[in-house]
Amino acid sequence: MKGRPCGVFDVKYSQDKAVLRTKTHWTLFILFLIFLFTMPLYLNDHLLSLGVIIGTTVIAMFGVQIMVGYTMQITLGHAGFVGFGAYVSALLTHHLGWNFFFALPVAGLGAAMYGLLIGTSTVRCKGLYMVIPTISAHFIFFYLVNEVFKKWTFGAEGIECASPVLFGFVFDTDVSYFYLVAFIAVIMGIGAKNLVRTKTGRAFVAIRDNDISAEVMGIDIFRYKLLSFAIGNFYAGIGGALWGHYVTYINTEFFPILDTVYYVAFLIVGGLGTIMGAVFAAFFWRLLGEGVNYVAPVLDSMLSGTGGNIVSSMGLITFAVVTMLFLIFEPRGIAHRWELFKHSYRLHPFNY
Amino acid sequence: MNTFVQLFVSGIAIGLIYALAALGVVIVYKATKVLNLAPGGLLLITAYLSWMFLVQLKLPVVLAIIASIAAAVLVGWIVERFALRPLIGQPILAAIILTDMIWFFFRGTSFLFWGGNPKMFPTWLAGRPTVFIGGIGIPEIMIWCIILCALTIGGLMAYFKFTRSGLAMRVTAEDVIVAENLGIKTTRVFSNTWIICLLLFLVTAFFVGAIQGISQDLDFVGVYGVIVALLGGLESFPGAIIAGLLIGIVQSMVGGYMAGILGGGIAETAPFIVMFLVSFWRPYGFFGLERIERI
Repeated sequence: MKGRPCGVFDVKYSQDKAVLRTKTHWTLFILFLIFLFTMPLYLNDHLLSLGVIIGTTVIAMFGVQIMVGYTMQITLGHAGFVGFGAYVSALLTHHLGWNFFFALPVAGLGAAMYGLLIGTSTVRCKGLYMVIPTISAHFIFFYLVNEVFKKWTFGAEGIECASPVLFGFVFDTDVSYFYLVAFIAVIMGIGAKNLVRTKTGRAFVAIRDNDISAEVMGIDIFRYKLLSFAIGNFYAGIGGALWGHYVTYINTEFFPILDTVYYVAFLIVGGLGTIMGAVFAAFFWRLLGEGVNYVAPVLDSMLSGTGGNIVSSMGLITFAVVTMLFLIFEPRGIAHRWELFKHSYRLHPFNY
Repeated sequence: MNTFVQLFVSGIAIGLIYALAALGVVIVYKATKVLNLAPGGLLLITAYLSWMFLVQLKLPVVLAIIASIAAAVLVGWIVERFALRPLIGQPILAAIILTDMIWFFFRGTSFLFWGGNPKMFPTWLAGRPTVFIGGIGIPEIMIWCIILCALTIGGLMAYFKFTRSGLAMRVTAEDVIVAENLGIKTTRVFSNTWIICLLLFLVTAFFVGAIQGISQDLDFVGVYGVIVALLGGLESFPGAIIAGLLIGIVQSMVGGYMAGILGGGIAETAPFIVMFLVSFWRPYGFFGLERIERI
């Protein structure tokens, strides 16, 4: 699928390596950025708030993509990692009065440290057995928040997260927060896209494909697995902190065990092993959820016999059925279709 | 001392339940190499279906039990035939996530049909008295649980050892291609596997339902089942039982002695902390096959 447009030749190495190779690429990218940052002009507040949620999910999803899609360290604890970031930032801003913009990177680093702690188990654990440490991470996070640090996190009552303030400007509207999230998401996306092209990213891919051959080739696999955990959780922490300060109130109920599965499941729906896959995954997940939220009350009023059960259960059923259909009919995810589309577009008048 | 014995016995009962759920995971893994993350949902649906036959439809007891067994077999067959068979040959991660989605699907459907209110089995099952043996009060259901779990596990072992289809399953677990060359219909083996898995979940669901009532919390037992299977080693039946007992006893002991010091949540968290630490010591579970890999 590395089909290149006809007539585009590389004469320098820098051209060969560029992400945006042609003028069309640049134009499309700039148009996309313009579209993204003028989004508040076309969308109402409800859709903008959905956009914020999608943005934070995209950031967290980059982390899952780096861990699962690039390094194949199956993680079933990502909701815990996201929550860890959210709590670090909430604690720093709430108790120490830190500015959000200092707390945000610290939240990422905090989650990364937690990831490193969990990731130490990769020294011997691998494959499916990685489920044990990661799912433990999720429950240990719950325990830490609800019991150990109850004095500061207020346990199940939840903790308030103040809206971010920058030079006296408060990000408490949907529009301003949308700009904040979009800006950070683009930065993080560029970071992720470039990370997987570096030596580190190639080491990740080598470990994914076969960790023994990677080791034989001189890659320190423990170091890179740890790095993958750290980076993946850094993304999770940033996404969690941004999300937490948007909803302004968090408790552990917001990070259920179901979400940890959704992160991996929708990643597969989006497409493993590409950065675009993570974006598709986040969009698909949140838009599907929004669609369910919209349809379920209508269905409930139509079928009045279910007594509201349908509202709570339809999300689960729809997510499950849609994901199952995707897995059965397109196990390579939306990103694969996107590649096929790009390929056929480039060759447009011809079939091959 | 009495407290200790009591906690120990209830730990064994909980542990055997986890072990039964874990056996369902192990059996599927052995035959199909798919980590079955579905026990939560499958436990829910079997529990609710048997509740429906016993209480909602008020069928006679024997008929209700036969109906629940038939329903479990049907669910197992459907799951294998329509969800997992199309994924044979696809990336293994996709199949694993698919089993996860089966969990969510059945969690959703059981909530849709039966709602969130806890349901109770009839009193002959759920309202068993507490018997006292030497001053230690043990709920009778737990004794039944221990007996029946032992019987189920023994029956399973006998099935593998003495029947033709059990033999076919063992061959398929060893090597699918060899099994096909020997004329074994592996698709039938796969669907048998899922049916047995569902029957195990049915037994589990009966006991969990009798001990703590049927509610959406039942899928937590499923999560423990998966974890116990991983801890015991995905290929090992004895491993699943030992790990289940270990986790059950740890949970019961820690919940009994430490809850005052470390907070109420420790009973749920302690097994996970134990498992996290064990994953350093035995990364393939207690009795899992340590693969010798080549490039």
